[in-house]
Amino acid sequence: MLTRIYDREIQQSMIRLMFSVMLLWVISVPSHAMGSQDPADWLAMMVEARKNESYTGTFVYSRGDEMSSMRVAHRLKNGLEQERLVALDGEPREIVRNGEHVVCIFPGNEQVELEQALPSSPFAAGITGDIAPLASVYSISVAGAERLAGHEVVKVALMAKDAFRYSYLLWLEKRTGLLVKSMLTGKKGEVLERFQFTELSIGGDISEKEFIELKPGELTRHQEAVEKPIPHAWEPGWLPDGFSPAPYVSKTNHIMPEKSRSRVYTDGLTLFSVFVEPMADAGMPEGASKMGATSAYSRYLDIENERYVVTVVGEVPIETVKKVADNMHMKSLKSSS
Amino acid sequence: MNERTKESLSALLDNEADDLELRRILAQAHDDEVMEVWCRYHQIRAGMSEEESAWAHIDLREGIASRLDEELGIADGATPESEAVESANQANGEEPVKSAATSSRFPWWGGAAIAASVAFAVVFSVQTIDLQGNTVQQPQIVEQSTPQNAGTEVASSAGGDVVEFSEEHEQRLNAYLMKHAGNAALNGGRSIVPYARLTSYEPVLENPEAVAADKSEVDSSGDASVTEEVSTGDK
Repeated sequence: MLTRIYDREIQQSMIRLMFSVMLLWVISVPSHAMGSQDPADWLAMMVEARKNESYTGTFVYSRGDEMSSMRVAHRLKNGLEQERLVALDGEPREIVRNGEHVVCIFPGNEQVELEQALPSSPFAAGITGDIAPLASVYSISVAGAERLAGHEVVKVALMAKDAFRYSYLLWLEKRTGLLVKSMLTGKKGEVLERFQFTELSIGGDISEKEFIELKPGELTRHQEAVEKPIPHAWEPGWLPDGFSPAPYVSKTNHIMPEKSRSRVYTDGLTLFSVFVEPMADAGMPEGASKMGATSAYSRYLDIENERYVVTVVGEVPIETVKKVADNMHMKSLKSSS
Repeated sequence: MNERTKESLSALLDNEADDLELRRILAQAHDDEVMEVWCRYHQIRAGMSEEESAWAHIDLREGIASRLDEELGIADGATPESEAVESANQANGEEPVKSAATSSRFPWWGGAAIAASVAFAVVFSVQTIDLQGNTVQQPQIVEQSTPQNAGTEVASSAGGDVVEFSEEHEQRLNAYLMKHAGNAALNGGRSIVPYARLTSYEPVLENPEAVAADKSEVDSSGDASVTEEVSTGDK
């Protein structure tokens, strides 16, 4: 009698144990599934999260031997993206984005519009979640899971297949796909640029104080910015695999010389800008510059008694910007070099 | 600065810093001493990799702060760059005047044309390499963290047909970088990193006088609108 009760208790506890094991298994399955999720899904999630999630946080951004910290707040309000990026070091300055308007605010409340008509979906270009083109030039994989800034994250590696681009490591928050950390590394794995949240809260209500309403009247300078693409006659004699013209050229123009023309090429992850302009007094000397992951290279090109300066700037190795600049030429008129 | 901070910096450099360490560094990021060590570690590390050493790092802040002094006519207490170079060469081992933090002392923000040209460099060290891959130019730069070799990176000692990287050149480079960052923000969608780059540039673009000066310079250069012609010819 006693033993039977004992047996039954054992039986019951066995059943309970089995249930809890099963329950554990059921609970853990989704996260397992997520861990082995297709990297393409993660990248698609990242793109969506960047646009649709509400979040606030502080991140560190470093390249070369410089490091700075910034605060960011982002939300989707009535279908309109609002974002505020505040530099915490050095001169107080911030960038505020309300939908299509991107404004820089400097000390003394000097407000300057950075870009007009930001495409409603900035992700139409760049990364779209379709990694087929990306996969031809990067080896893409899910490289593990970690915990960062209090969040469970999954690490996605995009390793360059050739020496003409850098490799990327992205840490994405597991639930939303939000980018929590990213690293750009060179051939030997040296870190060239790093972005990392140290504190991040995702979702929930964000205090109105985190955002600023932009009033057009407060703009200190509002310039009629025009896109100035490089004439089609200019064409690249060489592009690294996977690079094609990007659809958008920033219209920030008051900082560029009147006659400067630019074009942008992207491989879906990184991009470089090509500038062509007639040689002016203050033109760049021929040569290369590099800071962190950003390379710049200028060279002169003589075409029919006119000297042009071709400059390529991008987050790619110096060899890449050099080779692109060296091979830019004008179609109809044969280049003299 | 304590040993723990140093360890944290080292860990950060090796990409092994955890959250706590990052916060620790972040909290002290305004400390000159901490940033100096960060620069030094970076240079030591750069020295270990031959590829990176080819791009030997030059800290621009030294020269820039001095240049700011000059431009603003605040000469007292500030060493002009050329003198700084000389004195650094002569007084071997003597650390050059620390002026990394001095730029914030001056109201350069609102004022003269210099802001546009140097602000970028205050944030990020820019180095220029000639076609042969040698480090050239930046005559006003003193290698801050290696006093023994101070001055060796200076163009004046490089000789040959060194291109002098003038303020105008710097200004132009900054403009390219700004514009490129804008392009990246527009096309990227990858993250807020392009915006971070943009913000990191400090107030490079926002100086009406500087822009006006720049514009008139271009206008007065008298070039016909060649690119425009090309453009119409293309159609």
